[in-house]
Amino acid sequence: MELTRARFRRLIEPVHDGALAFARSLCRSSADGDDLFQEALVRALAKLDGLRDDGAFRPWFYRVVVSVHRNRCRRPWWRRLVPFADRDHDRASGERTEESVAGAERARIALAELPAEQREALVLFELEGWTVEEIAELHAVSVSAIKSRLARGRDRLRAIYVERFAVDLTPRPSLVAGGS
Amino acid sequence: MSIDRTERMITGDLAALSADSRRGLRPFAEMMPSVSAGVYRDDRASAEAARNARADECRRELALMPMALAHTFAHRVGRAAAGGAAIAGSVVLAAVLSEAWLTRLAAEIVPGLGLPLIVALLGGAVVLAYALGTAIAEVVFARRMERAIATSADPHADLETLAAGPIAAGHELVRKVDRWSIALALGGLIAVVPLVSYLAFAFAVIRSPAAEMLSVHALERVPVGYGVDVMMAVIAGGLALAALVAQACDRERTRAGLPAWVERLGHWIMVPLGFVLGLVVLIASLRMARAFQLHGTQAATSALVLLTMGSVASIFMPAAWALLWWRRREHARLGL
Repeated sequence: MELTRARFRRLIEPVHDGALAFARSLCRSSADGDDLFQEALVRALAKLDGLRDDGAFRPWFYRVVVSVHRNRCRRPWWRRLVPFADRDHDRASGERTEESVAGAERARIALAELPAEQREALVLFELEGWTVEEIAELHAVSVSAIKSRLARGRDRLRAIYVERFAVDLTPRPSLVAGGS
Repeated sequence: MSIDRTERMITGDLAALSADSRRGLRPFAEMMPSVSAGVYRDDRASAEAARNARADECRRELALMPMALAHTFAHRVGRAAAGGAAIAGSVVLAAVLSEAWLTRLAAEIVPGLGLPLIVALLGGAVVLAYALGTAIAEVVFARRMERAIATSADPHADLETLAAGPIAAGHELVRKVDRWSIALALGGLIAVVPLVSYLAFAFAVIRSPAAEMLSVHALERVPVGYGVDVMMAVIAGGLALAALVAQACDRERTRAGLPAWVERLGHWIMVPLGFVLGLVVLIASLRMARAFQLHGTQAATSALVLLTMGSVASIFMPAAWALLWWRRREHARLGL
């Protein structure tokens, strides 16, 4: 067990920050993302003996994150009814302007309305800088399937933005808890 | 809002989200205290708690699962079973008609064997197969759902088993039978209808008391076997095409859509086209039958092949449209 933990620590360290940011981007709040990431860590640690090639740890671990995320997405509707905003994060600070706070919240709201497959592909491609080939390998589908998901996801984002944010370029007050 | 402005806004917001997601990341050692300090001496209690919570979720998910999932699976299996029965029945019928001695033997084994009884037997076999198929599928589905929420003494293994949940398991079952329900249902229609139509025509052109009674004895002295052999070869080609349609449907998820030729088969224009082609085949068949009645002229092989191809196509097109339309409807209901 000590060897397994040491191996896991060595493998997770270089991908930790990127995977945590990915988990946070998939969820409606950073707290949910941290929770998702912790669950993925526990799952990955339990399954580490099944990983034959340490060089493939990065896509393998991201697959675990995606799997945990999809399982959460399948939860009954009453578990997803109230998304809690980060009360510590929804105020602008010295590091963040009002515009960047609002922009990040808009992006979270819009991404949450996409199907899980499109959301994951867009976050990996646009936010994490993965290539289309890497995303296709992660999801075990063809490159054209990923390109189609990216195109449809982007089209859907555009439609959501035009429909929701066209009036005054800010989200409706009821969607931002404790908003300023 | 112009498209450019929207695109810039989306790109800017995604960049803000990326920065926001990386904000406040604690040092790695702080995030992994249990791994670095070796706190996980025994994680069984936490695994059991997570397993029990997940098992509760799965049971609630199963209780609220839409009936449409089980019904779709059962009816797809039923369609596949009915199609398989139709294909098997067609093969038996073709074998009986291909040789005169087999036709005599069948008439002796089944007294009163004629066109009405053949149609009744085929129809009965198809209906029975459909009923049996749906009944068995319901049992299989129920057992799969039981496995999807089952727990054992190993909480880690249970977390793996329960990870997907009963709805995902149900979706997987529905996807697995997708291609069989398309291939066998389409194949059954392609196999049965031309063969029974050919038999009906044979009775129509033969002038004998047995033919007027639609008894197979009328076929003993008439070389219908030759036409049946040619038809079965063409029908085999139609079955191969049905298998290609089914394969395209099965690969739809990984290929991000159906191939263009299958999309065209799903267009409503296939119905009137099939109808028109069927009329042309009917008229050509009547002329051929008339020539046989008046002059005893047998149809050339090429004419028979063309007629059979036209007959198969006139059934294939509307049947494929109907099956693809029904499939789209099922997927829309299930959110697949």
